[in-house]
Amino acid sequence: MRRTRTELVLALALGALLVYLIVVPVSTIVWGSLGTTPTGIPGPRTLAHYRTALSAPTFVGSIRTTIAFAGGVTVVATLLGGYLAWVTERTDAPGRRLVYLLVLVPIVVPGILTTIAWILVLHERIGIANGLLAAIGASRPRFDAYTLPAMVWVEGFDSLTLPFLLIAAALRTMDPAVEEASVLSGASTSRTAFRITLPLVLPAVSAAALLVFVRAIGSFAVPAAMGLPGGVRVLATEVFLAARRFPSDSNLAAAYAVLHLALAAVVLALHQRITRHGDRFVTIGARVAHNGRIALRRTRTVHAASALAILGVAVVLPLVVIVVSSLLPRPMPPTELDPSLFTLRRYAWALESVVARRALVNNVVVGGLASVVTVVIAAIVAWVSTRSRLRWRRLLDILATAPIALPGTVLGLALLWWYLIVPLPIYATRWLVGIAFVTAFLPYAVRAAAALLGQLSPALEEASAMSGAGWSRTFARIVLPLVAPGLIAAWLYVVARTFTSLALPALLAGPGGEMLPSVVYDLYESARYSELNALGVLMIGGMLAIAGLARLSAILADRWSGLVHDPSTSGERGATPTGIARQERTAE
Amino acid sequence: MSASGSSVRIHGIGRTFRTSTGEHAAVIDLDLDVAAGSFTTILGASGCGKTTTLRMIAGLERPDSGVITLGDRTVFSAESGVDVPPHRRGVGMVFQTFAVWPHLSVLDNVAYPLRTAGQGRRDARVEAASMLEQVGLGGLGRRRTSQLSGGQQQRVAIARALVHRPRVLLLDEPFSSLDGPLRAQLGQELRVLQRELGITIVYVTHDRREALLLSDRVAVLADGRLVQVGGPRELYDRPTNRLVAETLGATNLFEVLGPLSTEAGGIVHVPTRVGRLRAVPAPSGGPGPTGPLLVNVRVEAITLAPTGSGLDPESANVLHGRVVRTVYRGPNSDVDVAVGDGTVRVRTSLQPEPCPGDEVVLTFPVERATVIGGDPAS
Repeated sequence: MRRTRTELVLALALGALLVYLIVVPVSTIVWGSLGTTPTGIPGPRTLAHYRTALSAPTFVGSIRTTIAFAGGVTVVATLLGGYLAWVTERTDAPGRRLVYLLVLVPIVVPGILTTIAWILVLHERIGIANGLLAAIGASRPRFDAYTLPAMVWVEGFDSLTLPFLLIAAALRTMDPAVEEASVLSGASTSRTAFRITLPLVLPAVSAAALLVFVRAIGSFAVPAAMGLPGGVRVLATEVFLAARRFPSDSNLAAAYAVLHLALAAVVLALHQRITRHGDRFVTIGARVAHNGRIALRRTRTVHAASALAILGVAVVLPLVVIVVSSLLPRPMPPTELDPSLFTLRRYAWALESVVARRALVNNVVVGGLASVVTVVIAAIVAWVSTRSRLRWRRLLDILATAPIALPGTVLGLALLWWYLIVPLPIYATRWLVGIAFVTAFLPYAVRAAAALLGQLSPALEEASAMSGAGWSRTFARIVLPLVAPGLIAAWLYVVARTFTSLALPALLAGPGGEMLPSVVYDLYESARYSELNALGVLMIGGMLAIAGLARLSAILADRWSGLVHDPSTSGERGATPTGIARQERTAE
Repeated sequence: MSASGSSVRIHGIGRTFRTSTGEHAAVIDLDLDVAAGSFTTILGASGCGKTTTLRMIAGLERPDSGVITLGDRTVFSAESGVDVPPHRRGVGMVFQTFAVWPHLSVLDNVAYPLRTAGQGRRDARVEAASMLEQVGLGGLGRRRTSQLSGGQQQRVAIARALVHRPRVLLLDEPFSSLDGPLRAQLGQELRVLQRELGITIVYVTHDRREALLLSDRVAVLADGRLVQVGGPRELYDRPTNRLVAETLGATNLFEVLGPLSTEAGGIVHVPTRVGRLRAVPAPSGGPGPTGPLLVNVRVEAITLAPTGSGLDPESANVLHGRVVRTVYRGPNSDVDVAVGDGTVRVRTSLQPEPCPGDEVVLTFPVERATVIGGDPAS
C-alpha cells in the first residue's frame, strides 16, 4: 500500500510538471490562434485567423513547400542512410568502422554551420562549385544555394544519421539465414537485397522515413539560412517571421504555428501506427554463430568506396570548408586558394569576442542545467512508466514523448506567449531558452532512460525492497547508480542538442541571452563567414570532446551493465555504436 | 523429377576465425569424401566445426586452404583461386532457424528459387505447388508462413531448398528446434525424399540418434578435425577411439592394464580392472589406435543375470559382481555393477530390475568387446 501511494504522489507531481512543460504552451498557442485580442487579454474567440492563413497564397505555398522539402529530405536521407546501414551491417565491405564513426558526426556539428558551409560551396556568386566550373570553362553558374533542391540536398545529407541508426538496428536483429537461403536459391547479392532484405526491414525503413519527415517539417537552420534569402519559405520560417513581426498579428502567427504543429503531429501519429505493428517482419536469429555477412566479392571495394564517398560529401566536405574558410581573410574561389593567406586572426577574434564568450557561458550554464533537469525528469518518468503499477502510467510516457512533433519555432512562439502572460521575470532571458530546451529534448532523454531501465532486471529493486528499503532509498542506492553511466551519456546527448539548436535561442533569447548557434546565425546574416567559421571550428572541437565523453560513459555503462544485465539481451554483432549512437537510436 | 546427386569432395580444408581473444581454428586440414546420392551426416558437439564445414561447402564461408569439388566441378580451390559464389554452386540448404521469408506466402517462398532462375510466375507456382505436395504441405500454398507450425515451416524450407533441383542438399541441424516425435518423423520423410530424388545429402547434427537412424555414412568431427568416418553400424560397433565410442552411445571403457596376448582366431586377452577380458583387437592397417588402450563394451551388449544361471564360458566374457546402483529408465534400467576393482554399467530390460547388493553374473560375446585408442586422433 505504501509503495502505491508513493507512486501515486510521484506520478501526479510528474504529470503536473509535464502538463506545465508541454500541454500549457501548446494550449496557449491554440487558444491564442482563436483569439481576437492580444495575448492575455480576454475577448471573443474566432476561426477567422485560420481562414486568413489558409487563403493567403504565400502561406498555402509554404505548406506545399514544406511538404516538398520534407519529402525530398526524407527520400535523400532514407536512401543514403539505408544504403549505408546495409553496407555496414549486412556486407563484408571494408571500412565499416570508419563509416560508423563518420555517420555520427552530424549529431555534434551544429546544423547551421553545415548549412553555411554548403552555402559557401553552392552559392551562385561566391560558391566553390561554381568557381570550379568557371575554372574549367563553364560560361555561367550552375549551382544556386538559395533554392529548394539545394535545401533538400543539404538537409538530406545532414539527416542521414537517424535513418542509418534505425535501419542498422533492424538489420542487426535480422536472422542472416534468411539472406543465405536466398543466395542458395540462386539469387545474386542485389536480388537478395531487394527481394528479401528490403521487404523484411521495410517497416523499420518506413518508420525511419516518417521520423525524418517529422524532423524535416520542424527543421529550421536550412530553411532560415538558405530558404529565406532565396524566397523559399516553409512553415518553420513562416512561423518565425510571423513571430518576429510580433505582436502586430500575433493571433495569425499562432494560427500559423497550430497548422504547422498539426502537420507534424499527423505524420508522427502515422509513425506511431506503423511502429505499433513494426515488429511483424523482424526475424530474430536464434543462436547466431556466424556473422552472416553477405560476401560481396568483386563489388566489395565498389560499395566501400561509395559508402565513404557519401559520407565524404555529407560529413567531411562541410567540415573541410568550415576549417579552410576559418583560416581565410574572406571567402575566395578555390582557384585562388593560397595557403600563404591563411591567418589565425579570426580565431583570436572568436576567443576575444564579448558576444561569443557570453554565448558560450549561456550555452554552458543554461544548456548544462537544462540537460540535467531534462535527464532527471526523464529518469523518473521512465521509472514510473516502466515500473509502477498505476493504470495510467503509460500516459506520462506518451506525454513526455509528444514534443518530438513540436517544431522548435512553434514551441518558441508558444513559450513567448505564455511567459508574456505569466508574471515570471524570465521573458526574453536565457532561462526561457532553458525551459524550451527541457520541453524539446525530454522525448529523447525519456526514450534513453526507458531503454536503460528496460535492461535492468526488476529483481534488483525487489531485492532492495525485501532488504527493507523504501522507494526513495531503492531509487537512490540501487536504480540510479546502476543506470548512472547510461544517464550521463543521455545527458551529454542532450547537452549536444542544446549546443546545436538554432530555432529556440533565435526566437526566445533577448539581447545578452544569445547562444552559440544564434551568434553564428547573426554573423551569417552580416556575411562574416570567416569569423563564424572560426567560431564554428572551436564549437565543433568542444562538441567532439563532449562526444568523446559520451563514448567513455557508454563504455563504462556497458562494462557495468555486463554485471547485472542478462547477457543474452546485449548480444551485438558488427561494429559497436558509440554512446551517442545508442542515445540517438533509443531516443527515437 | 530426375535430379541426381553429385559427389562432394573436401580436401585439406582449413578455416581459422580471428576473434577479439585471438585466433580460433574452427576446421583443421579436413578431408571428407561424400559419395554421390548418399546421405552423409557430420556429427559432433557444438563448436566442433561441423557447421563451418557445411557453410564452406555452401560457399557461405570461405576456407583458408584446401579444395572443394562438387561432382567433377571444383567450386573452391585456395591455390588456384577458384571460388564459385554460393548462388552458382547448385546446392540447396536448410537452416536451423528455418529462414522462411515472412513477407512471402508459402507458395512464393518455394517458387522463389525458380523465379530467380528466370522461370515464369505461373510455371514456377505450378512446380512449387507440386514440390509442396511432395513434402506433405499440399493445399497450404496460400498461407502466410507465420500461420505455420515449426514443423510445417521446416517442410517449406526443405521444399524451397529442393525445388531448383540442386545436386547436393545441405542441412544444418534442421530439426533441432522441433520436439522429439516430430523430429523423428521429419527425418524419416527426408530419407524417403532423398531416395526418391537420388540427391546427395550432407546433414549436420549433434544428435547421435539422428545420425545413426538416417545416414549411410557418419563423419565424426571434434575440435575441427575428422575423427572417424564410416557407416552407422561400423561406427557404433567398431569405433577406433574413445571419442567416437562415447559420442555414439552409452558404453563401458575399461583401461588396458598390461600387455595383450593373442590367441587363435585373432582374439586378444586383455587385463583390466574388472578382470581379464577376451576382446577383438583394433582393426589392422591404418595408423592403429593411439593413446592408452581401452576395451569398449556397449552397455546393452552385456547380459545381466542372477548368479547361478546357465552360461556358455567358451564364447563369452563372464564377470561376477555386486549391484551398486540402479537407475530406472522406462523401457529398461541402467545397472552399475562392482566387478573386481572397477564398475560395469549394464542396460537391461530384466524385470524386476536387480536391487543394490544383489550378486549378478554379466556375460557378453567377444565380438562386442573391442580394443580402441584413448586419443581421438586416429
